[in-house]
Amino acid sequence: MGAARDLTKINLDLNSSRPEMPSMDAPIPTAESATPAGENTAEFSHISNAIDDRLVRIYKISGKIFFCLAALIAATVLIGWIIDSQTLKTFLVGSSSFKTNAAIATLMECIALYFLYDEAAPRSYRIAGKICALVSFFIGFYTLLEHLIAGIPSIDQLLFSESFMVFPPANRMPPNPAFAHTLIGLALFFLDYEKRHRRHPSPSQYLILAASLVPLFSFAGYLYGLEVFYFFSLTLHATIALLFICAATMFSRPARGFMILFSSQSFGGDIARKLLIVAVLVPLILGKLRLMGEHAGFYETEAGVTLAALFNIIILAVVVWRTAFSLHLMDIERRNLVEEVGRHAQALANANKELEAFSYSVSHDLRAPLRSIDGFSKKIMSGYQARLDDQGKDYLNRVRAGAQKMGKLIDDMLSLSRVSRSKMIDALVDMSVEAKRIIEDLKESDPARKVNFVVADGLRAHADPDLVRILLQNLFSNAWKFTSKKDDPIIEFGSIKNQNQEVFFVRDTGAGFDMAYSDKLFNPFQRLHSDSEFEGTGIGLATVKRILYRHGGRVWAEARLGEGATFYFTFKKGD
Amino acid sequence: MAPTILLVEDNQDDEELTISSLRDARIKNKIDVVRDGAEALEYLEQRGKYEKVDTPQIILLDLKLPKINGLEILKFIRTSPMLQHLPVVIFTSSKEEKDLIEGYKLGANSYIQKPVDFDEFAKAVNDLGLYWIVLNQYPLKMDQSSEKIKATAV
Repeated sequence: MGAARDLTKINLDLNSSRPEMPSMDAPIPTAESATPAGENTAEFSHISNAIDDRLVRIYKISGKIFFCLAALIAATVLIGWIIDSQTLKTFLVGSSSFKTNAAIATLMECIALYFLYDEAAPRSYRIAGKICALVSFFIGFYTLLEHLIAGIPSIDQLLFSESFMVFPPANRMPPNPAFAHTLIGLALFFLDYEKRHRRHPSPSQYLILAASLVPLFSFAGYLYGLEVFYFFSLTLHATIALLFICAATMFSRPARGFMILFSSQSFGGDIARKLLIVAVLVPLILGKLRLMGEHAGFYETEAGVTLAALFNIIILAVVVWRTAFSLHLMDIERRNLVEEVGRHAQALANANKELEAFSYSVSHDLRAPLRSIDGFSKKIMSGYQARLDDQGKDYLNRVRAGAQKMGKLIDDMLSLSRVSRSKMIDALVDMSVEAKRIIEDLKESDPARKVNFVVADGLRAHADPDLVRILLQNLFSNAWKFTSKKDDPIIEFGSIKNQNQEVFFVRDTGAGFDMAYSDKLFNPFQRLHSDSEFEGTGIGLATVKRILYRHGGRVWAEARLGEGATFYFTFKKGD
Repeated sequence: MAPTILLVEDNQDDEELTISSLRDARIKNKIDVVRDGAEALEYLEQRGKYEKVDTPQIILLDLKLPKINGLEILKFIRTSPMLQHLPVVIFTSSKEEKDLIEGYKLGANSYIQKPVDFDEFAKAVNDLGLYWIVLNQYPLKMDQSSEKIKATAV
């Protein structure tokens, strides 16, 4: 277990509502790591938060290797049956053989795994896989029936017959591998069946765990030289093949149920991976040592058991202590972190309060002098016209224009800061309705303009209603503004589906912009047009980006200079 | 006798702009100006140097004032039996939602945000003046009726 991990390396998702803004080109996650659509995963997604993609890949590759090896074993055995080679059928140890049907069932399971391995496999693959799984299930189940019910037609010698032994019934696999194949067949058939969220172990995982008891028992038996249970014994290679299949099936879905823990780069995951090995190896090894000692005559059974018990105690005690200690250290550090977080939260709250007071002051104190500048310039203009030449009038006009521009900037800045500070509510917002309202206002502001508006119905999202209104106002007023120089422009509001997500867009056939500058688009005060072309402060899109960021979403744009622009946006993933 | 307008405003520029805009709107009433909250209270209570003033017909109230702020003055007005009926129009730079809410909660008759742009400002004052001075009706002597009430209450 070692010393406590360096906690700075661990990705503690302290502020889960503010994910990093993904880059424009970041691929939307594939089906593998996405949550099932329509499920409310908000509270429980944290369990899978620490899943390490590297570990996931390791499991998946190992799983593939395992079932390939199992297939190899099964194929070799079948060849053995074809050419009637005892070595291939019985391998090294013992006098039982790897039965034909067992080999076929194993092969079917490997093929099923091949088809079903990728979670995003096409339908035809999934069907093929399920068929193979069913075949394996059938073989196992029918063999079990043969054991239980005397006299039913036997499938054991359909392909090959065994004359080597009369007892057990020729070429019939014992009930334990039959049981294992039944369960494995079922597990593979239901591999992706999940009644509940994927954080819960799936039925197939339970089935595999149950099935794995068979090869585990057999393996231990081989280790300890168990010879008694002829009838129930599997060959060594059959045992190994079964172990490989069980492992491969579990490894095929490393982000589900039981496997989540082992795929996580977390305190628990770390410990689980190391401790499980210990938990399996220690009893096996101690048992073997004890047996070896007994057979070599060093001590009697009772002494052996006592010694083994003692060593078990010592080893377990040491393991428990070390694990507990490292957990203890991590816990202490966690508490320190929690305290620090608390302090940061407090500092943040204080800073916010200060900011609010500041904004309030700004809104008042900056406006008054602006009004003076503007007002008195106008009074000079109107009252002293005769005494001013054109130059003077021009200068005064510029003074007024400057004051007004500053007023707008103040308003926009305050609006932007309010967007960052306000408390967010979560509601189901009908954006189509809101958009239509905004459009009505726009039309009223300039009834002479002819613009073709297209708004899709039923555009809904889980978001803060006020912020969404500001978002839409900004996008629409931009579209309105930038189409002002075109005849019969179109402004469209709709959505498209991209994998699991709804992507909304506002499209216009206005002035557009040069995509070369697209990364500057959302910076505050950054403009891509001069004031003489289109007026503006450059805050609108920064506000839009800030709003979507607060929702855990993203925004990006595509445009062609002179032809128009489309602004795409999404809210939190999983909507 | 034309009723008085009370302007509660600490900023001399705003005072100048407001008064000249009212004059431009042909409002000829007497305009009295007080520059901070304490003075405003003195004026309204007709104390000290303001002993001889009349009760104003309309109060234009700025919010951000030194010493006592506008909302507190409003509160005082609305809780004082002699003054509580006075029309008070909040005339301020602030657009903050909380000022709006607080203002109406305390009983302001109207809330007008001073525009930065002077043309708009002049228009606002023009409309404001026309409405509250010319259009809006207000009893000449409020004191008479309150005397009557006092008599009957006994």
